[in-house]
Amino acid sequence: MDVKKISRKFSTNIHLTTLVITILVFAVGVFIGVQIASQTTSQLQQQISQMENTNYNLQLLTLINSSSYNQTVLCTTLENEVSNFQQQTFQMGSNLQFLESKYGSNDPSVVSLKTDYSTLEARDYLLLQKINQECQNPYFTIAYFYSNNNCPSCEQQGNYLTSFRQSHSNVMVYSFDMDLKNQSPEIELLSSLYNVNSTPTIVSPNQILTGLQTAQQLDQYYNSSENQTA
Amino acid sequence: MLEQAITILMYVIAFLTLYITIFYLLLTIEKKDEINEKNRTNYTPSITVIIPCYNEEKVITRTVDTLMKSDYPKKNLKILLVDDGSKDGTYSEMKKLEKKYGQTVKAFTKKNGGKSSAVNYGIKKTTTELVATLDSDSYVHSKSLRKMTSFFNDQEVMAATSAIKVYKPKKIIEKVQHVEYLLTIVSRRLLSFLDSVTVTPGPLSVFRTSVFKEVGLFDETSLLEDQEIAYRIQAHNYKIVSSMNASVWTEVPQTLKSLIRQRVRWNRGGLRNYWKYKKILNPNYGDFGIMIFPLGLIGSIAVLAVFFISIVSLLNGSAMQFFQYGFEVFYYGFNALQVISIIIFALSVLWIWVASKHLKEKMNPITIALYLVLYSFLITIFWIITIGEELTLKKQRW
Repeated sequence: MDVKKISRKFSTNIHLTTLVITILVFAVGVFIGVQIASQTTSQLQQQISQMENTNYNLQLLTLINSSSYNQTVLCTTLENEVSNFQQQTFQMGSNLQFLESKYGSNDPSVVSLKTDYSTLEARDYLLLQKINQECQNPYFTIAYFYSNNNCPSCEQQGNYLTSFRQSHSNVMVYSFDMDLKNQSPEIELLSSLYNVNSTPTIVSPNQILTGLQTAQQLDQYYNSSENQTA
Repeated sequence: MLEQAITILMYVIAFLTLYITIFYLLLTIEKKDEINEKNRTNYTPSITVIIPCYNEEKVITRTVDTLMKSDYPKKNLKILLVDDGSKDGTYSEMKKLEKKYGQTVKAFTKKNGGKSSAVNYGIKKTTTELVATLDSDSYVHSKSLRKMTSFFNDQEVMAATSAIKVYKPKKIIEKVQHVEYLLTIVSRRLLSFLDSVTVTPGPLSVFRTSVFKEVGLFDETSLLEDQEIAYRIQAHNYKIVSSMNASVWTEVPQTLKSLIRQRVRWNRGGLRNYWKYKKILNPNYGDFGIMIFPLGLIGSIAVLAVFFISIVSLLNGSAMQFFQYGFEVFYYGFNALQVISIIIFALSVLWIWVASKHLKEKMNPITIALYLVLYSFLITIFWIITIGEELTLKKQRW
């Protein structure tokens, strides 16, 4: 008989060593990942704080009595500042939207960042109302109230608003997540001010629109509002 | 809910991939002294080399000439050429070789029945202690046969596999396969330490003739007969070893289309063999049953899972986020999974680099990294087409 069978073995030692090392490396990976994520959060938090300061400065500018100052100069300064500020706000909004899609809307750090960001947006929105009063309505402001839960048309509405904003340079869109109403007194204030009970709701300078508004409808409101102003 | 399930699945895949990478690294380190086959004995029993041929009039002479130049004692060497009903002048070329080399070379012709039937035809005529199967388009190094037969001094060894290399790689697609074949040589050598070799490749493998009496001849209906016979030998608990130094050069697909055709055949044949030998999925088969055999299927499932997840995330738009939000978000989107993926990638490059040292082949880390990226992409394509063909075949049957 020249055909011999082998006795099968399980390499317990090497498997155990592998398991221990794998768990350790995996844990290190998770630790580094969590560190980066938390660093990201604190970095964004810092940026939001800096933007809050800028917002305060702009508020201070609007307090200057227009009669004691050349209004045209004041308005040009304000509009330039607002334009810079808007770019920062837009990038921050994109970053937060990305984080939300990555970690989910219930992630504590996402909720915390979004609450701070909403506060900033609410202040900015109110500031622009004030600038509109002082400087002959340079901006077409929109407050957009949405929800990530129970609002199937909100995503579509968001897309319509994005293209609407892109096609009109003076349109400023401020998005408020109604799911954060309880955490953010500013969202609470604005939503009660405009009687927002459902999502999506769009507050334009002269109308409150509930339900999905197409890009065409938004254009119509915009044109009629611009005609009125003219 | 779906998102959570996908995240968990991704972490599970990441853990398993990390485990396997570290396992291979540790195994390479542990076997560093044995891996180079330094303690080889000189054992040259009688051997028959079967070369099945189908329309190979252009290459058969060179293949036989190369084999005849080997350092194997000619009194113990027989070369059996089996023409599988070729339509060209293969058989007349064979007859010339028979005349040229006298007793050593014998030529036979039979009705076309496929490669396995030609090999089986040869095995039935074999009277030597060992039998080797050699593809007609493969070129054997002059010392390879002797290196492989030396393993058979150990009575437990029933089969030995060779170190298959790409014959003169020129095009990029051949160079990618060249790297792949080199890695396969090392990983197969490592697997032999775990009694877990999963294929006795067609280009060159040596068997103890008596093993065919125990397990039967090659399966003539299998799409992947060289894996099928290896699984069968393993299922019977016989030993297959693998050589890292017995070189044989083979022609590989030179176009993407022919590569896809080859790999899809391997995959489809592999799936059938897997199903046929599912009983191996059993702790009684030690490392092979618990780890290496399941890995064949888990690896394939992981490829498909990653593909599926990519499609889902693409449909959800997350892959488009870079375009939508700009590259600034790349940093913000960094999480544990990405960190682990980078660690796995780095460890894979390290393993391949360590492995290439044993092969004495030059491979720089950049080539290795490129290979890993390109190959994972190619493997996914192979598997998608495989599944597509499997599904189409089902429809045709119904």
